[in-house]
Amino acid sequence: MSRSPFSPSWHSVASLRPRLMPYAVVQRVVFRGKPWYVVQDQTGGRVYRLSTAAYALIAGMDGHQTVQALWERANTSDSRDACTQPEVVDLLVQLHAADLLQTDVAPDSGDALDRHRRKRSETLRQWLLNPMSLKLPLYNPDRLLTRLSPYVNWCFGTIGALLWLIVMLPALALAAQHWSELTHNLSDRVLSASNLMVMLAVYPVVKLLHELGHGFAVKRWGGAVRELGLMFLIFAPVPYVEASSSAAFPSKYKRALVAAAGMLVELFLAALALYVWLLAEPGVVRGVAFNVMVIGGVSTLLVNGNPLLRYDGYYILSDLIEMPNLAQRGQAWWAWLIDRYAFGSTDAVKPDESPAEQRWLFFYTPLAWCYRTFVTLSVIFLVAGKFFIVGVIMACWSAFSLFVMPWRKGWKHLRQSAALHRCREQAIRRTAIAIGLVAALLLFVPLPLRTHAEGVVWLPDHAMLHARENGFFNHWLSAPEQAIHHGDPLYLLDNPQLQAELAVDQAKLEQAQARYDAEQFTDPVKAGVSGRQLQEAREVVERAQTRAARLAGQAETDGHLIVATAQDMPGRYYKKGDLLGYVLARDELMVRVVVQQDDIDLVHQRLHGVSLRLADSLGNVYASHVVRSFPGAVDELPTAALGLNGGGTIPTNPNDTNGVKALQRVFVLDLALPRDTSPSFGERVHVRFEHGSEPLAFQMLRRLRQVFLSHFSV
Amino acid sequence: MSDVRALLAGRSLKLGDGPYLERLDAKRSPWEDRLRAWLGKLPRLDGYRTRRFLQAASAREPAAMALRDAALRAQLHEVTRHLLREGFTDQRLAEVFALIREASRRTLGMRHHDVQLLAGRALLQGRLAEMATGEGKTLAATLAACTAAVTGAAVHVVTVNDYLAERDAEHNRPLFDFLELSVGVVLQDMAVDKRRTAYACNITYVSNKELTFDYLKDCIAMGEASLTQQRLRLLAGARSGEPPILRGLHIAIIDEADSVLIDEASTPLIISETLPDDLDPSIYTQSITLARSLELTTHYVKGQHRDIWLTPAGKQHVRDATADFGGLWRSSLWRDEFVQKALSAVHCFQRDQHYILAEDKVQIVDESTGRVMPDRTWERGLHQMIESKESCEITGQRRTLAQITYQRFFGRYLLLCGMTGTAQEVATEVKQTYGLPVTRIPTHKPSRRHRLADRICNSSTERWSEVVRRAAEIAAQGRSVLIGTRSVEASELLGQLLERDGIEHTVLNARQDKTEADTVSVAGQPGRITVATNMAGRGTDIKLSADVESAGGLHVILTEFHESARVDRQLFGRCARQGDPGTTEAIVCIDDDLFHRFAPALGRRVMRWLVTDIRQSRRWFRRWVTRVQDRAERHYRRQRVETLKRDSEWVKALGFVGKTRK
Repeated sequence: MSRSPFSPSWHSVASLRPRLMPYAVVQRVVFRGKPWYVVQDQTGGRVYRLSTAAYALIAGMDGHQTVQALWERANTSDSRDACTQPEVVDLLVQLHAADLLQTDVAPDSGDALDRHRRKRSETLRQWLLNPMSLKLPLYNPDRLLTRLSPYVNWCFGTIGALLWLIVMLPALALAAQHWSELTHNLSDRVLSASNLMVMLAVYPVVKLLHELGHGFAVKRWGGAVRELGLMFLIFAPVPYVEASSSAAFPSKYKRALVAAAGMLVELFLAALALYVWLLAEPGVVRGVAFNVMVIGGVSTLLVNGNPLLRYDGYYILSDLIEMPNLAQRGQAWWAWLIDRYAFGSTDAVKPDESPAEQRWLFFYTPLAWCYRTFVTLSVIFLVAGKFFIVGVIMACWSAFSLFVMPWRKGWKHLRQSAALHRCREQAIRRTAIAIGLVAALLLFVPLPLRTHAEGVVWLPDHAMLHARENGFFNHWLSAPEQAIHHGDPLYLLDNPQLQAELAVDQAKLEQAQARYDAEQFTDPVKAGVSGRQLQEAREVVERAQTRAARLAGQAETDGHLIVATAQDMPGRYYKKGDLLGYVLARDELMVRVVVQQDDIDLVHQRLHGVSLRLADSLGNVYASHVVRSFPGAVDELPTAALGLNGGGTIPTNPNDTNGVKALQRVFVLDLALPRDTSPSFGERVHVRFEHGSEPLAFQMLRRLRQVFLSHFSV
Repeated sequence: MSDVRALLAGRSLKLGDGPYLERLDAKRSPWEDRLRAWLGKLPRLDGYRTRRFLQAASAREPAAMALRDAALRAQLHEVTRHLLREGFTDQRLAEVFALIREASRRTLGMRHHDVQLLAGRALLQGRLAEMATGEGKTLAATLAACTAAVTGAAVHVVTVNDYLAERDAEHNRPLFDFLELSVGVVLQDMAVDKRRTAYACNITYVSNKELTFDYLKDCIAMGEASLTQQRLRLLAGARSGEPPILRGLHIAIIDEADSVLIDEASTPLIISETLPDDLDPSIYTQSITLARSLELTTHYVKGQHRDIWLTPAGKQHVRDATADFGGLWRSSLWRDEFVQKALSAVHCFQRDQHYILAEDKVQIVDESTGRVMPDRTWERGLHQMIESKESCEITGQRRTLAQITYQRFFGRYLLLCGMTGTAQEVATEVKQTYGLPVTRIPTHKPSRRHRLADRICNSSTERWSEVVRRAAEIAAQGRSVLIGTRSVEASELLGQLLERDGIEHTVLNARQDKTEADTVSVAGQPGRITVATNMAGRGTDIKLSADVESAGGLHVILTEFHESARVDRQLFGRCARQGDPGTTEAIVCIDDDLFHRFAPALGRRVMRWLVTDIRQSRRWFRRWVTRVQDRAERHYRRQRVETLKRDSEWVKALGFVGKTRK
């Protein structure tokens, strides 16, 4: 609604004689060149920002003048629009809500009690809406901090800064030097069971020091810290202090420093820990130092330092750019943008933001939202993966506050916002159209459905030259790298044992022959026996001869003989089945692809086409087709190159030294290699299976189901 | 003096600590309200108890009949002692009702029907009794009023206007006199002393507005202090001020409860004083002239629901046009405010529809009742703009002294109950906002009201000529005709048309409200045609002459559907009362306001295509109207709920201003 000079509730307040509670402290603070007045309520640690006009009004509140008189005085100018009645009423209501207002009427005690009750239930409500972070105030540290602060005040000055730098800079250099040592296998080391115990012990101490950092920083410039408590972030207790009284510090650097103090303390600790870690022998001390570094360095910078989450970084940012309440203002700004431009509302009140502020808000809000969503989703998956029942409940809860609440809020805004009063139908229509469009896009517009896999250029089995018998390699009968034809002799193996056995067998045959000849006519009965022995001996010899014949290899196809290390082979012992080389025929190469379980159903059921790219010429896409598909799943990759460690995409079992054991069973497919390519054997191939098209919603649903199946087994 | 033990017996009420006996404002969450409303919808299974109650009452009737007058009164007081202890239990009520029934038979010559006993019982149980129109609500109310009054509670019978208050009080006075109960009537222009005397009576008949205003006056006079504080002050020797006007908020029996509790409750009641306007009067004339010069769509846009606003181009235009006016015109805040209000005054408020000019003053007309609301003004600025538009004297600004919503006011009664002919549509809302469950009372005699086919006309002129034709036709049969119009303007237009055709008729509207009683008393004569705004709806009891009754009774013509089907049903309810014969019919036009504002555009187009001349319809059209009225009712309900929510939030936020100023 546009600004209106009159308020329908003016009569309620006009004859009041208000004054500010004596404990309210007003401080002038400049934000982006504009003076504001920050009113602080010393008991609750809450802070309110007032514009100059509002301050002028409040300054006149002495308990003698009526609101009407104050308002008239504020509007003595010719245009009489310095502050309107609704603004004055709002201001009074706000001050009352903050318990900062005293009036000449008897306070309604029932109402005051009611308000107190509501405030208490508000805390509970907040926790219910966001179960991942519960605040539990424990202790009022103000007296303690006040007593101790003279001893630590020097930290927040030149000496402190110098000391911090002296410790910090060499530590940075050292950390860079020992980077690989520090980071090697970090996740394993941090998450190992024994380390978790150490961390559990170290974490509260470091975080407490962090919070004391905030507390002392507030104390250094005269603020008050009245609340110290525990906050449960995903059930993990973290201490916190209420440091919002720093908002009244006139200097933005001091405000920022208060917000940053915790991180500075942690970084300082991390630096000290680095020295200890470098000097100490492996043991408990070193373990503790390592953990201090991890907490103070990594977690601080990633979580606390990130301005996109509502932790220290956010406050530092909003202090430095002099935009308090960045997040709320961002929402208001975006709401206005949408009301004004998407819904065409002409009487949405434009938030009073300068162009530079507008830019900040424009980018900050969506960025923070995306990041927060991402973090929450990760947390949901983490928690739900670890503790199933509790996790899923918490996840649903968080998902509710992350997704459902904003929808509800948006819906409420649409239905009730005064700014849309005159174009509500249009706004609802446009929203419906937008949602409908998105839904239609998701549900009805088919998008190409594809799965990707990796494979290698592979050979048909018959092109592989395997040793057909155990033996020492003698020499190649055909020179490697030469064209050969079917039936050409290729190599010769030596197997003295086999030769000897053959000789023995032949001798035995002769012996049997001799015995048979001798008995043939003398003793028909014996001859019968020896005849059978002769037969056996002959068979044995034949077998041995076949084996011996296998020592010489022949080409089974036309092609090129390819041998990896021909010169090393003579004299080496090969077992039966060992690979000696390849007889490569043109057009006989193919692609062996490994498909993960998630995708195999699609590949089997609805395959509309296959295309592939070769690693050495990624620009060219070739069409292909499945030549053969192995029905069962295997857990061994055809080559280590496809595993994660070999540069592929399939996670392999780290305990397997060959790197071919996949963590999950995989399916193997053979694809034909396009004719006009001549890739080398073993080259990586990127394969795309086309499954026709399907609306995005269904595609997402399938993926989601898979995610759920694999993460939560539901 | 007052004794409210019977009202409190067996109920746990939180009483306020103010000088009045009243209930503490309920603090319920919206969820609780919703749940209550939902539970209220569940059917009540008390058929057995109801039968037993009726049997008990009839069983005691012979005994009561045998009593002499004095003995009857003595027995009533005897039962009252039990009531004080036990509250209004079925057994005691049966005893009391049997006595009152007998007293009524002796004095008024009317014996309460069984259904009226049920209604009386529902009232004392704190319910809203829904009785079909013409079933004798007034008489049923006497049961509850007398019972509560003999226990010593201050009984307020709340009517929708002074006329009904006076009429009902007079009508029942013999009964009250017989029972030695004093009865007072509060009327609009009464002095404070007389009011105080009226409220000091056992039973007070008063219109909702007068009652609420008197309560507000008391609030202002008594200020913030609690009862204890006041007594302490008196003990300390302070001069005792004027005694309060009311005795306290004990029991309110609201007649036409849906009208009072729902329709009129959408705006708060405000007591204000007039101060000289601190703005230059020329500002208003300038604004009005300027507003008249602006063009639709280029400079301003008119919303569907009587709101209007400037476009950016309009703002620029206004800025240029007022460049050399100086003063407040230089501030964009004031400039927009003035022009906006002036636009509303010019385009959204029509004379004789939203207000009338009487004694050179702008007087607001209540659209649902068709009555003038004296001393009511629109919000600051708008009223002055309208006065300026009509070239009346600018009255100056009104300063609000106190205000209260009906929701809050009636919620403070120790026992709230009501009666109406039309409650079904709003049952949920009444339950939700006032905690009043609705009880449907069966009819005494089957209704002989017959609704003829609706006639739908293509244009307004066609409608009026059709109305005139039909009215003349029916009147010629020796029956009497009541024509209901929605605005003063329409009633006068129709009056002129009838005049032109030389048809004898009477017009009853906000301008002629002085003659209301006379007009109504003769409206049931043969051949009589009465044109009335909605004010002839609720409560109006047209007594039929014997000739008319034999000719087929009263014929009611509805000329335009109201947004609320309840108002239409009330108008139809003027005929065929208490078993009389009667017919009703609707002659409407598809351009009517209701269709314009609430029918979907497509439906309107279809209607326009279907209706080329005059069409009669029994079913399809009625169904459509029902749907549109549902939509309208929903719209207004949402608005009311919204207002209520804002009000309660506001009251919460304004904790620092003290109780009475909220």
